Amino acid sequence: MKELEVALAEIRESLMNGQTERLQSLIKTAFSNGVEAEDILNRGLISGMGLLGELFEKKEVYVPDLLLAARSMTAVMGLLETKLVKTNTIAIKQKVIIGTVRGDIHNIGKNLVIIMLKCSGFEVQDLGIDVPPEDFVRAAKEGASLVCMSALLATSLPFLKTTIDALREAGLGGLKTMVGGAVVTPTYASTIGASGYAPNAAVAVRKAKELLNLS
Amino acid sequence: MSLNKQSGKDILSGKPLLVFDSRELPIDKVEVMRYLGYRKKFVRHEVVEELVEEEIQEARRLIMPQAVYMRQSVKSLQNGIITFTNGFHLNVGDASGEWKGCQYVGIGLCTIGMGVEDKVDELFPRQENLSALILDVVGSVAVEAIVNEVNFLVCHGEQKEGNVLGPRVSPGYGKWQLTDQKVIFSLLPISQIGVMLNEQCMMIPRKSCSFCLGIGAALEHQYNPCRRCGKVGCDMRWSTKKERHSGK
Repeated sequence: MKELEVALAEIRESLMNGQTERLQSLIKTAFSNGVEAEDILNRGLISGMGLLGELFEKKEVYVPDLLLAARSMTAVMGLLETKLVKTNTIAIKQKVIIGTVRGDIHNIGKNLVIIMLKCSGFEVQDLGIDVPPEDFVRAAKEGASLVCMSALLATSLPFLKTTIDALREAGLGGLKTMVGGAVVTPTYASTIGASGYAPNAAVAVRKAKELLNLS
Repeated sequence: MSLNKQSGKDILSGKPLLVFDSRELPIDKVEVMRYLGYRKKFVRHEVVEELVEEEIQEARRLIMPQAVYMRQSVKSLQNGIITFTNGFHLNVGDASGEWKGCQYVGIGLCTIGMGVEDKVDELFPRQENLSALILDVVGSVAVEAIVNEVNFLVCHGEQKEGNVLGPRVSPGYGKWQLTDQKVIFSLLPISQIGVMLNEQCMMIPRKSCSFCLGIGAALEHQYNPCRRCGKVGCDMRWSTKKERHSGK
């Protein structure tokens, strides 16, 4: 039992430091010692990303650190996937759709949120930039647990509300929504009827889990 | 060392287009790290620093640093609205207080072209997320470097005419609405550098920056680019009397 915890702690640490080669080696060793792929994914990798997210919120690490860890995680997922498919294990069976709202062509922040959500086990559908409300509605009707919308500039801010209104008018008012972006504030998010607000990619993951009762 | 062939005097000559040498544009690695979040304490991160250096080199290959700049004569400045002698006006809001007494407003627009953002858009789908992020930040720092260079040239050109500059502001800052981009685009020969505005008044290429400067012989708030520069003894050094006396 103690050996398992040590192995998972080392996996978390390597992931958080973005040490891809060491992480690959640790995972192979863990497999040979009988550690389950599900434990490596949930208690090693996803847990490590969660810890890194907490450090990011405390401003002890920065976006590049998150991306280095995400790169390491992506690199080792190939080692896990075959075993996870065999056991039908998916970390979080929830689909998120995300896009930058109409009139806004910024995508960096949105992409960071996508990376963090994926590394936390969510299935993510990226609708892209300058997304009209009807495209959000269409994608949401195809099946989603959460709709995330980004807006960077004051001129695109109204389209957050337009999109949330369009979802409601399409009978999707019960669907959880989350908004973020440079100009968005918690007050504004509340005013337009968004279920949640996230100021950055790390908080977006935490908030998504809260909204979907996965915390 | 000037980054382009124009001098401070030439920038006032009525030729609006400025083309810069991407190899000499001062893209500051520390500034890139700061944009990436490494602010209060510069935490050394070898992997990130190496990538920053690589992406700065990549950006130099991709960017086409250009600017257009013109000076407009001011007819009036009241309640945050600047009216030019040609009839156009800008509602700059609070910034007008900083430009009290200005005779001209310098209007500029700088861009690095589409190269960086096209490459960033290629990198994200390939999961090269960190390189994409860093290259995007390098692009932002590069645009700011062009703006600083234009500002510097204007500063020295105006100095020769006995003028000083007020602070630099852009549409979207403070109470200045982004919709005034349309006025700036009407006043400048934007087609020369291939920048467009979308319906929401955002510039394409995204790595572009428009700005205005108050100019006059007796501005209360002066812009001094040399305050941020440690190059002591520079022939181009711009300093106030107080600074000259203190030897800074």
